[in-house]
Amino acid sequence: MNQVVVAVENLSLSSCWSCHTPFDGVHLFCPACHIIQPTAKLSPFSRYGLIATYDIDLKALEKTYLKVQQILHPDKFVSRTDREKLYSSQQTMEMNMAYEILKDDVKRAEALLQEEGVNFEEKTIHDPHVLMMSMEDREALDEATETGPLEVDAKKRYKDTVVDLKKVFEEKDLEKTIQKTLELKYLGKFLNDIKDKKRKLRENVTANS
Amino acid sequence: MLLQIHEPGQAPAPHQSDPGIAIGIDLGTTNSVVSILKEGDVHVISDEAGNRLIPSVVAYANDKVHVGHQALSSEGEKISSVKRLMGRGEGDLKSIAGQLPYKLASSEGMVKLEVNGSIKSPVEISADILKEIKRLSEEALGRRVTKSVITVPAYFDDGARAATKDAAKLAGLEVLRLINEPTAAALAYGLDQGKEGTYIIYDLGGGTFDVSILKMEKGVFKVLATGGDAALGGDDFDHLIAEKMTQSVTNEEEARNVLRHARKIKEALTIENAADGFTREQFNTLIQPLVKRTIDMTHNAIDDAGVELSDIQGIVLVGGSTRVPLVKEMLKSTFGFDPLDDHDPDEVVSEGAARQAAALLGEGDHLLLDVLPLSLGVETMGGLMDRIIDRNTSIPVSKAKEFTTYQDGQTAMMFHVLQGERETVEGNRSLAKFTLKDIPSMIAGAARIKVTFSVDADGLLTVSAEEQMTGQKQDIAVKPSYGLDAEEITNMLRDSMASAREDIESRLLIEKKVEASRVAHAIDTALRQDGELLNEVELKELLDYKDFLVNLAEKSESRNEIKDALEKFEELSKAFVEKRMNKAVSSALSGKDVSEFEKKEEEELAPCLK
Ligand SMILES: [Zn+2]
Repeated sequence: MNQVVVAVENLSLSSCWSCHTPFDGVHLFCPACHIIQPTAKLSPFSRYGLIATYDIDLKALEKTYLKVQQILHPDKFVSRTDREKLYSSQQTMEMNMAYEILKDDVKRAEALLQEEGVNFEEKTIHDPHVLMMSMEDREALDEATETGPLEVDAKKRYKDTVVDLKKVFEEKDLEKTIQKTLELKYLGKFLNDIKDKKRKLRENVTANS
Repeated sequence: MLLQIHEPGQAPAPHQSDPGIAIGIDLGTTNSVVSILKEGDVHVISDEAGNRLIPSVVAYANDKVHVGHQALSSEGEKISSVKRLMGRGEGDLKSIAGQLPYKLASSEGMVKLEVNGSIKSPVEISADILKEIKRLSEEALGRRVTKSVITVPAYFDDGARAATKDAAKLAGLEVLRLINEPTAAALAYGLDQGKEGTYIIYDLGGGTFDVSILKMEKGVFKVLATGGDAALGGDDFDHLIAEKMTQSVTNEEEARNVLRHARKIKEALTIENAADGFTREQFNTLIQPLVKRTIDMTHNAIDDAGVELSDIQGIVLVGGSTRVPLVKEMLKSTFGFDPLDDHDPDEVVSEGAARQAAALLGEGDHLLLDVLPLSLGVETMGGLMDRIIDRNTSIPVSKAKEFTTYQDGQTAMMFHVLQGERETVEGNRSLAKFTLKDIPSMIAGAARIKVTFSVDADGLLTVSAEEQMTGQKQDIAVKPSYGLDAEEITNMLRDSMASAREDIESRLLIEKKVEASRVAHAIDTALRQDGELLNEVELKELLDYKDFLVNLAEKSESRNEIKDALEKFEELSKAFVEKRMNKAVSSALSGKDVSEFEKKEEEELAPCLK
């Protein structure tokens, strides 16, 4: 028997829309008649049965994600009633959105900080070292004729920053956590810029050959 | 508390009647193929003469409709390649006309064709092909067929997907699911040969190129990224040969003959080293740049998928044009392994569709997870596209974003729904326009309008807009209004990379211009209400500066110029703003209403970013 057991903080009492059996907490399927239930308001973490921490097991998360898709995806409800189809679609959408946040090192950090009431639009990078680095990055990227070494270096810095971020989250130092998150966000964006440049260089070679 | 995720299968499932059968249809531009899964094996259904490929050609003679090979030999007026017109609007007419041997009829909204004296929509013509497919299937299987899975190119936008579903409905076929062609091909290989790992699905047809990166693992087929070019295919190879042929061409008929000859040479060179004075080497030199471009796009898709070259286990070949030897050679030399080509590239898509059709009715427990091929968003003030869902996001998906009003007292907001990768509205496909009305009158920027985009498992979009305070709401199913043809859609995908930088610069400039005109508008309203708080000199100074800002908003090409002007204006207006606030505070204390804004005529304005 396959069962994924997931912790949810808020105790709530509701009942099945189909057989009206009351049940505790949040269920994807009615414990009595096993019919799919409408979506509940849950944080991305609770949706995947995780405690709201930064350091999560991404491999395990992916496994849960695939497991959840296997039982919720609209393809599994093609011969069911319209209402069940609707709930399957909505549940899958919620699971997809939560997964997108959880698997992304930056979005996951932002989600945790938003729960602390941090408004990212007002935050800027203060660390002069990081600011200096970003200027050097920009220059290096503009001048690069191949992106390989830049990419390797940026990926390493990204990985290191994720490690740092895990540490500052654990130390519960809010200001440092915000700064590290912004730094990681910057590196993510820089990696994207490298990707664009790589694309451009590739297409130029084709155009000139 | 515990959230328990049960397998729905554990439940005593509600009694279900026989789910019946479902066919898999590859509704192609040139040929269509229909298959069915029987006892674990896929069978291609052939026509009365035994042909497995059904030409996607319809012939209309007096009261008679012929499809496929019968249409080819019919006397009636023939329509082919109608797939290229699916979901196209009037705005596409100009770009499509001339490319196709059709008489296009002008009509409201959708493109229509004049055929044998009557007007037909591409949806109706596609439906005629599907009716024939349904008939052939019923005859071959000896039972009624009402359910299907139909494949569409991965790059098909919302309008083209919706049109395909409409055609099936017209033909009396329920579409259990629209699936993407490369994904269907992957399914055929994965399920047949138990492949696991990350694969490139390389699909080169007659007129289009699609590439998907797909991860197959324990029965789950997850598309990681998709890309391609709707205007690159094997037909381009024919054109290159034709250009090298010495014959001079004086009319259309001759041009067609030259092309037919060129195609013959191409096909011969697939097997032999020389044909009609052309060597395979010469041919390879001609097409090398085009094949290189498909390989570049494959690299781009790998990057988008976030995987490394070393993660790739293999390449699946789809589409008749992958028979060209240079395609296989270049793929092999670039990626290091022999491409998988043991399924017929013309039939593999339909085979996958048949397997998915059976799975949807409960036979088989694999799962397909696909992505949105092109980003979706709305137009914001200044002619920019604000993305709401990025391309390559897993579907089904639903995302919301808040927007606000641009003017004081604005009670209506116009939403223009767009699909594509460009920063500016031009160059993206316009999917629909609608207006949210009865927004309560508030100062600019105070209203909160939540716009929700939902994309279902077929890749079809629904949009809703809701004013958060009153709950004023509007839902629309997106139907194509007007826009571009498929060629332009992929061109814009390609261009968007090249022009990303210009786009960002122009976006920043437009944003500054919008800010300047908003500030000018706000101060204008404020001065009209509370101008008496200032003396004549002060009033004139502010009014002049307002005019200066309006002028900048219209004409300036420099972001910094506007930025400096706005900063200076903030200084200039500081005293006035303070006086105004003091007045507001004192009238609030005395119980008077301070927000007596002029009642604006209902204006249709695009939303502003919150
Ligand atoms: Zn129940």
